[in-house]
Amino acid sequence: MNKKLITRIVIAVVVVGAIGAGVGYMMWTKPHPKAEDQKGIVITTTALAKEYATDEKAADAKYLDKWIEVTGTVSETEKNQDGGLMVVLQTEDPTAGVQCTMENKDVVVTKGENVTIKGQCSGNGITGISLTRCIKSK
Amino acid sequence: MKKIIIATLLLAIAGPSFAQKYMTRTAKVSFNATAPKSPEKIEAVNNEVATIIDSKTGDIVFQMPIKSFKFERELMQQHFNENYMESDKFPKSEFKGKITNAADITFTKDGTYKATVTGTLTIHGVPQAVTVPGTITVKGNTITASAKFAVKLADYKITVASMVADKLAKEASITIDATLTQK
Repeated sequence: MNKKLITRIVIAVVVVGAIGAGVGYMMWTKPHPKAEDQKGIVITTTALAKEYATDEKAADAKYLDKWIEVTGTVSETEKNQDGGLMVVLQTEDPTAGVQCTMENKDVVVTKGENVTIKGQCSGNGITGISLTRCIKSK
Repeated sequence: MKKIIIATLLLAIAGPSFAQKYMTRTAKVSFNATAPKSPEKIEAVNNEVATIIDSKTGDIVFQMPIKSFKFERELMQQHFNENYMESDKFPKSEFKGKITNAADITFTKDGTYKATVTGTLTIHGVPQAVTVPGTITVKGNTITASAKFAVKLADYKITVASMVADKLAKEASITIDATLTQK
């Protein structure tokens, strides 16, 4: 085998290896998605709650893991165990709020305020529909 | 209008029985499934766990949206959801059971009580009977429920790819921490 060929093979292996390592590193250090970069499905809290109450499976197919932008009235706020903030938006059903866990714990909202919040839907539960990584967009 | 009147009446009737219910939407569940020799920590936290305790009957429910588990690394979170928990198919996990020694706990008196909880834990769509020891702390009209236990991934049909078998433990240690207020 001539030297030139060996050199070429070595270079090719190194380049392929470097690309592989680079892609792997990029995947490994991939950042979490940000609400700011997402376009949310626009819906009211009441409409969202109705869809979930009518057919949870169908609503999950439409909304689960998707970014949603909901507008509604703040019924309460709850501090979580790590100091984070959950904003609960009311729907027509008092037992089913839209529960928005805010990305920034210092967001200020007041009870009774009408707000628009964008977050990623984690589905429906016994106390309401969960949105996570939320930001207050209005 | 009629609906509001009916709702108000219903609430008025149900009022007294509500007093025994404690609730939170922000209980914390964390887990650690790091294998002993793994260089990376495999752990996550969920701060969106709904919990309801009925102090009279001892009924206790935990329910958590799987997609709200937060990992340090996005890639790990993605693998957790797609390959292990299949959270598109099984978006929530749930524990439904009873505090078997509820009679020994005085929910009206401040103090720390040992509790035994028995019920069904459903993860990855697989229900399993479990009994877990925990602690209940009463302080005014809030109660704190905490527990730590281990689950075998195989019991819940969570299969571990051989590629990550040295990183991912066969058992996950789970910590629950809930502060509930009377409703």
